[in-house]
Amino acid sequence: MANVKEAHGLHEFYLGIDVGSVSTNLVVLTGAGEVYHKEYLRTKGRPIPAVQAGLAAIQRELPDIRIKGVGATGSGRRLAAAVAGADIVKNEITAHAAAAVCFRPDVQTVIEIGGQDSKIIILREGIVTDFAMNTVCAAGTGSFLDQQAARLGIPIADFGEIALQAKNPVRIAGRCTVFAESDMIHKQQMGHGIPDILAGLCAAMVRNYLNNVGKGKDIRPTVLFQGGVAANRGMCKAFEDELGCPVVVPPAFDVMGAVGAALLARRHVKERGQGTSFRGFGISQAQYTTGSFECSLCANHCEIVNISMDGKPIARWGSRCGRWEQAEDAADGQGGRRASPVSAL
Amino acid sequence: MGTIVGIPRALAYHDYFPLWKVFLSSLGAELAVSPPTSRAIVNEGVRLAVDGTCLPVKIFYGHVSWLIQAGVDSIFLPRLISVAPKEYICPKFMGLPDMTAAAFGSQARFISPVVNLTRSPGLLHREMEGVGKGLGYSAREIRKAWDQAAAAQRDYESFLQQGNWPAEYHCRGATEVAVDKPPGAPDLRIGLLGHNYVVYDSFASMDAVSRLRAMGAQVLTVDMLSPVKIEAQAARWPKRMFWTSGRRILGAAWEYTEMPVDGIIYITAFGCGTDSLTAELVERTVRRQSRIPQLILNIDEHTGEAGVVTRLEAFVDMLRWRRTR
Repeated sequence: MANVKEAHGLHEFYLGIDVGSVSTNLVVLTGAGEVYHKEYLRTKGRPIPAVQAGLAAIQRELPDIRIKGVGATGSGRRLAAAVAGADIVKNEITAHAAAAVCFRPDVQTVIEIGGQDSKIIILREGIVTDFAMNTVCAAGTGSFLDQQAARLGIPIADFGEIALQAKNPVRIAGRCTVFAESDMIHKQQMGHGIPDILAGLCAAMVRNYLNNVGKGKDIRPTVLFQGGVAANRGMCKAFEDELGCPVVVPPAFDVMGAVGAALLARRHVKERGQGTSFRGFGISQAQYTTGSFECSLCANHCEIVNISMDGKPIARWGSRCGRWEQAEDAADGQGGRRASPVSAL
Repeated sequence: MGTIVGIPRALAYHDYFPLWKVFLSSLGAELAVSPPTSRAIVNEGVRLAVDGTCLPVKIFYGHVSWLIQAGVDSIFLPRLISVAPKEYICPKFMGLPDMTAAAFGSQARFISPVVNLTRSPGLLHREMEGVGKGLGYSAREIRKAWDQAAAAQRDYESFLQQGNWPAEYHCRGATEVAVDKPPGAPDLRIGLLGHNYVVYDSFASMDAVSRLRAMGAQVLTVDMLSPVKIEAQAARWPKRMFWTSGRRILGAAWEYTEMPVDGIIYITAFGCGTDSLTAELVERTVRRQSRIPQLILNIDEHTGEAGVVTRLEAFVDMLRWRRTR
């Protein structure tokens, strides 16, 4: 068994953690860059327990695994990095792009729609050349689809299949979710069928995405569709109709950020040639406490966040001046010499 | 004379502070400048300002309020309409003295000379004379103060053109330099675009400049480019851009594409009227002229820095990644 593992590069594994607004994803990647195991959890506003639950689940499934490197990404990446002990902390754009290029080296466009944000990444010859993220408005992201599915009493998992049954999709205003909702209610009261309304909603969201996030971007095939919303086949079809080209959904579409983080960790650890900073799976049992206070040393009144593990402070951030971050290093007794993974951004 | 004149550290301050400071102080006025923008100042500004204005105007209200609470006798608040022939400043500047008076009423005396050089540059001198006479000075004293002030302003502008930041000018000679030096030699050059009151206000721009420098980038501003080159580049645009700041931004964008820089970042405040057009023109010009990546960073009164940080990091990653090819 050991030999088989060696032969497939399975004696080394890399862990990717993507803490997003809606979901927290963990991926175990083989040394060869293949997804060996994945965990998709709801963040539910509590990112630390979500990371711990994910680690506990991995340990249950793969008790003998040895992690050689850890990467963290997502809007909660700093928190995840502090909790798990990450070797590299990367933004979501770079992580998603890295995963996309690994899956399809010929990718030229990545559409990523998550719970509360959406992005577009343009690549040429494996290099990111342009990107954009949604700005002030979360219209056209997964949360809205969730909300509308719930309103219609449809499980979100069935949403896409039902939309595909549409014969005559209705026209729905996609500019703003408030208007989209009232439009949908209007169409429903006029007697249009649910499949036609859902297909219309998908088309509206795709138009909204292309007009806002994708504005002015040179969208060319191969197009990859990533993020939780890619599970919705109605959305895939709406994108294909609008773009006039096939849209590829990678098998690990819902955890591509974590895959990218693990890939970047693999590269980073190999380049640096040092051991991992991973705190081990035991931390799923550790007691993490977070606290915050408002610093009153200047008029900025920064909100300082404190993270402690089993009563010992492990990270602190939030000050504009950096005063409190330095205090954290002092608490470690290392006088700020320790290279924090966060500074490797 | 013993009169304390307050200057809000906001909006046109970031362009003309040396001129104002030397003019007023050589007339003998004691100056009080509000501190750099802080959360408290932004909160106060948001509370006081009209809802529909841009973030920089809200920040301005916060600074005025700070000065009034500090007990200044009067506040220097010129009515800027035009600072160059056939050019205009954003219309909000034109109405600023009225908006401020409406919000603060009689809590302070506002010194508001009208700066309108669309037709005649000579008008400025007459207005400044009015300011000086209002403070009780003779025409000769005023002329002398004005000459000194203009020299200080020229000095400041040439200092910035040498690749320096305003913070470095303000603490020239001091032991501590406010602008942090990036670790090691920068390997990327990023051209920054945006109004000075956004770019130079580190709170409003969420420390974008320091963050970029900490990531190892050399950051250029419009003020670091030669005004002659900027003007020549801006003149290439088929229709005359008549907003002074927009014109400089557009010219600088064109200049950046020819230098060239590795990337261009346009920092714009949510709700900025002139940028809604300028940013669009810049984006198209850069795309047509070059393959230089660009990022438009929209800022508003959010304190959540995650969005800004993610975009800056991803942008810098992208620039470095491109180079490995």
